Amino acid sequence: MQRGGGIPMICDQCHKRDATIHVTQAVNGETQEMNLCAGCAMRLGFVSAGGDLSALPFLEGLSFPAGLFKVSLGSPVKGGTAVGERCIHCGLTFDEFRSGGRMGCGRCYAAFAHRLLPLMKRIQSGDRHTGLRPTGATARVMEQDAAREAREAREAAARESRPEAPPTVKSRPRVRPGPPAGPPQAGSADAAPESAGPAEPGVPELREELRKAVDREDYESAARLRDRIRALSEPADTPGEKDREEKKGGQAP
Amino acid sequence: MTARDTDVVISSRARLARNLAEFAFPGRQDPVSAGKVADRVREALFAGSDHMARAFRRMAIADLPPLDRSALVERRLISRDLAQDGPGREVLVSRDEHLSIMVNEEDHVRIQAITPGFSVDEAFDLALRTVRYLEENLAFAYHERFGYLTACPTNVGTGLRVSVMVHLPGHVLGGAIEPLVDSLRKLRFAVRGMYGEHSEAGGALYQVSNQATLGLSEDEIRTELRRVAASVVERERTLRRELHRVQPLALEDRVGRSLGILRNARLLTAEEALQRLSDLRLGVALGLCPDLDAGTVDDLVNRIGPASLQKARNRDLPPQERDAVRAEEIRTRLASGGAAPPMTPTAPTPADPTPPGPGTPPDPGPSAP
Repeated sequence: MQRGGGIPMICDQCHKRDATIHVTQAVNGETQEMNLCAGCAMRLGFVSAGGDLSALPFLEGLSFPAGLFKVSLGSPVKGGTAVGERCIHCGLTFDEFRSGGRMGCGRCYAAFAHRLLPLMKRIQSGDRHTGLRPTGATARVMEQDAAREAREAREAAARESRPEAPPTVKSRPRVRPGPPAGPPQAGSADAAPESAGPAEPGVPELREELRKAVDREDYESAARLRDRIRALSEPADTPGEKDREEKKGGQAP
Repeated sequence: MTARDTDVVISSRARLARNLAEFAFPGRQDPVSAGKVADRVREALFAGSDHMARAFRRMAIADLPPLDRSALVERRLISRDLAQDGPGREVLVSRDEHLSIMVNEEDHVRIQAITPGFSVDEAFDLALRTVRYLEENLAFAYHERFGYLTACPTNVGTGLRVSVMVHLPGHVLGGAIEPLVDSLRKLRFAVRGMYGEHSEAGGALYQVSNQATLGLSEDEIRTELRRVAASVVERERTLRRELHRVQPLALEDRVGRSLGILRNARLLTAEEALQRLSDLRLGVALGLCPDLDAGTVDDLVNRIGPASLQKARNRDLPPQERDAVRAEEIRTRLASGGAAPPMTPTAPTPADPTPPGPGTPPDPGPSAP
């Protein structure tokens, strides 16, 4: 299957950049679709960090609208995209999987991750791979993907924060621009901006922390981090953006 | 008891499932992609190495007549599934037949290593070395959370299935198979008949394998399997000894009859032959057949499948002729003077069983003690 899949589209939000992320959500039984660029997707809270979309379903229960499916950047296996409940890479629907018992492609796993986790808990000894790490070509492709995604996210964040710095609300700290889009570094955690100020971590660091929190299934911290990121990067008023009621109180900073 | 526990364990197997990241899984890929997958795997295995090209034999399933496919299934080099027609299907088999790489079965790549006796680690190492060799040039589908991705979620994560083929006549005769299957299922281990899924246990041959592939590391999986298999082996020995202690005559009669039939019959169905050979193997393990060894019996089991028999004679044989050929094959192999095996002193046989003749010594086979 080809990567990415499709003709480049323009972001529905900023109408400037290429949409690389497709979001589907069910609102009152109707399916709404959005095509977003990485920057807007992050700003609206659809993507955690670096396009690590496999993380999304785990955050879903915390505050994302019900029925939200994921989103993807590039990699053949890292992200998966489902429109409705169809993997857009191979076209498999979740119902087809249920009746046939077979996934269509590697990306189906990310696309249906939230549906698969309960299944894994039943049929397997856990829902997390603890075995051997990839080597050779698999590892090389993963490194390239990670570097590219980190670079894209940095670029998007930089574009995002520069033109429209939003110092409107109270004493909200300013969004620090991401690091310059330099050569991709393998260990993305090391790619922190060099101008680390004395005080609080910036959005990229918080996103990295968020990613790690999701990885270790520490959803409470993840929710806190997500809220901090949102507070740092959202313009004061997000026009037309749906209210996301926090299901659990007391998690905001 | 014996090296590699060959009195109970016939062979060990490790299988690793992988898919190429770039393509949809075989169940959902078009024939062109299937062909590309096969090309990639072949290139990854053979590129830049004459040695590998010499070490492996490549067979495209579409090119194989039905008889050859069935013979490969009987020798456990390919699955029944792969033997069916399908785009881009092929198998790469090492010359010693310990290793086979199935392409475009349920997953793009399935590597299996089979080693004699209780040797799970050896089989795993062989399979892992092979998969690592391929991975140098092939990017496999991998997900940070789910690990190596497979068509069926029951294989995802490590993609590792390890198994031992065990001979359990003690369990069968002692009525202990069902409890064993139940108790192992609770530990997420499966017990199946000889040729894997959907096959019936012939000749008290069973395959014990791990069910879970995700949430455990490869080391944990094989350590668990070793532990479980070792306890099955011990239990089987206990059951055999117990059977022999409680009913020595009945057991020795059973072994003696089977040996007599195998050495003298002119027609043997596969089913009967397997059953009789199972008795013989039990007799060998209990020291009732000193002129035979388990390797000879196992070798015979491998030769008497319908496809293997016909393949050896290079032609289709009608069923009755097959039974005659099978009986002849077994007679020839077991013809060591035609003597009945000396029984233990408890057996009230009239004296003088002819001493074991000087006939052909049994083929040591790969798993000779």
